[in-house]
Amino acid sequence: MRSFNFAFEAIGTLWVIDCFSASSSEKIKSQVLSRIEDFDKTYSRFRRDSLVWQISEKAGEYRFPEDSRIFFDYYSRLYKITEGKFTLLIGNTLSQAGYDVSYSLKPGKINKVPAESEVFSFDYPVLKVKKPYILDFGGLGKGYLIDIVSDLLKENGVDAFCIDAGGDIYCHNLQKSMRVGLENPLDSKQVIGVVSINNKSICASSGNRRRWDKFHHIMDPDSLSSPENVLATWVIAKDAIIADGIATCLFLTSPQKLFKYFEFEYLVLYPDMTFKKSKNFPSELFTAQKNLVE
Amino acid sequence: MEESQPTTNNSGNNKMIMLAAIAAVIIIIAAAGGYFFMRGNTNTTIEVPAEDSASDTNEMMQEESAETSPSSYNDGTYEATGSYSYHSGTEEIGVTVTLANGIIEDVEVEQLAKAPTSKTMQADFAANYKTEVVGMNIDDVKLGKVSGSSLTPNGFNDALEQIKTEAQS
Repeated sequence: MRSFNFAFEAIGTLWVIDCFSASSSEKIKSQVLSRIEDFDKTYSRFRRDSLVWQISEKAGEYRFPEDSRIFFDYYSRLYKITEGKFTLLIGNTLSQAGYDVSYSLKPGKINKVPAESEVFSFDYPVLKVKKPYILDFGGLGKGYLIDIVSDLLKENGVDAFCIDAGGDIYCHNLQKSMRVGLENPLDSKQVIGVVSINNKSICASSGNRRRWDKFHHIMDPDSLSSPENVLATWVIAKDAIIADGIATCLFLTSPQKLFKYFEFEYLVLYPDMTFKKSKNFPSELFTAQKNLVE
Repeated sequence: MEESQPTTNNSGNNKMIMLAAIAAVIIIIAAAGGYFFMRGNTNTTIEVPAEDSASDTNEMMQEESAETSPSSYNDGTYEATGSYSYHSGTEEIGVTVTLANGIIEDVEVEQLAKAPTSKTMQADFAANYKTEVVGMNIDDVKLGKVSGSSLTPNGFNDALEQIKTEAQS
């Protein structure tokens, strides 16, 4: 069995993919890169040649690719579960707060967020856009793309692999579980604990990164501010799209609400460094008293 | 809490839930009592409401149960108030327990003390019964990967650097 790895930058982050496979690395690498490029060109609000960019300029009907079915389905479910707090419309809000296409990071006037139904409706594969609006697919985008790349690797006969997209990770069929450190949000040279994963994804979200003015990359559409009662979250789930989405949603709603609809394990870290976690979150956490092995 | 609703039926279930909540209260109050005792400030007697009088003193809240919950306890948030006697009179401490998938997932302590010393001790307890995590250097821990969000988008980082430079000039 050959093994190889490749690293590249895409959707604004560093990807490292470790593969154990009989297939040729060059073929796989080019397929992965081209698939990510297609995805980015549809859903990125940071490129002027994307479909999402067109939607931000003009109302109308937009035809989406096949991957939009699952994507919009998850968005609409989480929109309902979080009572509108997890929304594609946050793109406009982030942009007005300064997290815009040119990264001005200078907050302007931030408008109230309307109901999604006032802005768009989706009936696969057509998105009807009633008024131009900046949609943000960042809440699930990276997780979904990890799942897409994972499917692509499986289709290409890669027996075992690990995808790391800037700290959001999926491991498949490894001989030994991957030991993943939980980065200390206050000091990236440190970890606060370790989890072991295999055939699962772990995604993290931190309010301490991507900060500017009084904001970070997660916004509550009701208060039009960034939640500060949570420092960071980690979620483990079978699919990266779920882990990624729930890691964000835990800034906006309670785990109990999400447990009714999804299977996952979580760890929430608060600004005072206390934490809350689900019973089966497979972690070894470092505490002031001793290493708490569970 | 906003989705909670008072319980009205399912008395068998309620009894189990009440027991769970009371058990949690006993544990917490015992912990608090032990904590105060260890501090050597006072003799603490712990009085926990008896089961049949619990419904009078406890405010019970119940969420809709999760469809997938495998346990016999309904998921939800339960509140109870426990009392213990202090030499100046009876003191109370509020406890909120969150059950998810049948396990105690979170405990919040509400400080209800009246006497100044009790206030201090309850505040001290409330601040310390939760465990805090600490950071360990990555080099000291054997790891394959690190999960976090330190790899922020380059465009964002560049912009931030630029703003910092502008602010300094």
